[in-house]
Parts: sequence; structure tokens; C-alpha cells
Amino acid sequence: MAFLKLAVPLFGVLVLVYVSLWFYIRAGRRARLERRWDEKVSAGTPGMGRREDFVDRGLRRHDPAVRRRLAIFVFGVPVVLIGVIIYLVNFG
Amino acid sequence: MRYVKWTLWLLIILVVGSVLHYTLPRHDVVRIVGTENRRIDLAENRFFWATAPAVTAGQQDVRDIRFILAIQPNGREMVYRNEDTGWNWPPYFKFNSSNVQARAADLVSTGAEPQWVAVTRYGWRNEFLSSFPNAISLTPIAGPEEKPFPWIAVSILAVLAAILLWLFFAIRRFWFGRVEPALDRVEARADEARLQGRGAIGRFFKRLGF
Repeated sequence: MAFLKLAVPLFGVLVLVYVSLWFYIRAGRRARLERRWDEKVSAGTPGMGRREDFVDRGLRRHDPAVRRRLAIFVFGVPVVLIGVIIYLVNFG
Repeated sequence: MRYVKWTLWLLIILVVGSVLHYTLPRHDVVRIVGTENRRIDLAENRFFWATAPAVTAGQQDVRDIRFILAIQPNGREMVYRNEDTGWNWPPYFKFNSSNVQARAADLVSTGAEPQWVAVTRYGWRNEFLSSFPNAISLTPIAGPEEKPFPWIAVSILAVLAAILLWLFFAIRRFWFGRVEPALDRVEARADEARLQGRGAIGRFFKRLGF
């Protein structure tokens, strides 16, 4: 029971952190893609298409990888940390 | 208004600082003189003990609690409780209080032939509140001058400071990049509207025929 009292709120907080970081990272990626499009167009690269299409394509292509890495980071780090603390406190 | 703001900040810093001071691990160097088990009736100072296993409402919370009695290098007394934190706050995940008690009993020494012990602990010793720091681990050391540096507490404080700084700058950037331009636009539109038509007072005079 005590374990659930830790696990459930912790999971809720981590979901919140995940969602917040997801939007934060996505905004940064969008800004980078927009800058890259501007640079390429001003350099005269042909066949760049519309700016929104370029940005959408770039975002969508890397979404799954970013999502996977973010999930491993946000949910994995605390679990590993708890495991390390349990080992050090009780068996270290 | 300024005093209210400063008082509020001071309160926040005081509360956060107290929580950190209570919760972060620190080291004491002591000589253990005994161990005991006492039956404690947890009343208004329940806050300073481990979180209770489910207690039926209206029932009294009476528990057997392990204590470690010690003497500091300066000759003053120190008493630790030795309780499991389990999965509860603070997140030490300590399940081995029985083992810690056995270790404490093994390290008992006399003043003539002292065996100094570095106690990793959190919490406050307060006589008026009857609060005792919780001993997390015991390490025998050569002498009081070998007191370990609180690396873990310092690292946690550094990480917290880094997160706080990052949040501060992220919110600042969001405010100056998104919120303030939006507010400026609203204000500009209001100014424009005011210039085009007359204001409320202007309309009033207009109705009077001026």
C-alpha cells in the first residue's frame, strides 16, 4: 500500500514532466527547422517548397525517436535513481 | 505592497530551507553508548516520526521505536531514532533498521576506549518537540577529525539550484517572448480605439451637445 502511495503520485508527476518537456523540446525543434529553411532559401537552394511543409515534415520524421528518448529519460532516471538509493542505503 | 512581497518571499525561503535542512543527509561523529527499544505514544509530534502504517481512525498510534544513544566528541549527548522510512517521505527507502540496530549494538564503546562512528542521519534533535534525527547508516572511523564531507546533500542542492535557474530563465524567456508582446498588442489596440472614438467622458459631453 505504501508503495502505491509513492508510485501513483510519482507516475502522475512524471507524466506532467514528460508532457511539459515534450512541448518545450518541440518548440525548440520547430524554431531550429524554421531557421534552417530560412538559411537554405536565402542561400538559393532550389525545391524547398513551403516553409510550413518543410517544418511539419521535419518534426514528424523525428517525433517517434524524440518521444522514445524522452520517455526513457523521464521515466527511467527516477526508477534507476530509486534503485541505486535502495541499494546504497540498505546494502551499501 | 513591497513589504507583503518581501515577507512572502522570506516565508517561502524559510519553509523551503527548513524542509531541506530537515530532509538532507548529514554526518555526525559520535561514540555509541547504548541501544534501546522504547514504546512511544505518538501524539502531536507525529510529524517528526516515520509515516504511520495505517492507523484506524480514533485509535492511538503507539509504536515500539528503536533508539541509538550516543555521546558527541564535545561530551554532549545525542539520541537517534532508528526507523524505516520505507516508501514514504523522506525518500531514503530505508528498510534495514533492524540491521542498523545490530550494527549500533556492535559499535558500543566506553569513554576510556572510544570507537568513533560517523552517523549519516536526517532530522532534528529538539528536546521540546521530542524529535530525534533518524540514523540512516553507521560507519566506524578513526577519530572525530575524520568527519565525512556531506557530498550527497551538496550534490542535491546543486541539482536543485540548476533546475531552479533553468526554470527561472525559461519562464523569463516565455514572458518576454510571448506574454509581453501579446499584452503590448492589446494595449496598442486599446490606444487606437481611444483615439478613433471619444472616451466615456467624451461621449457624455457629446450627448450634452458640446
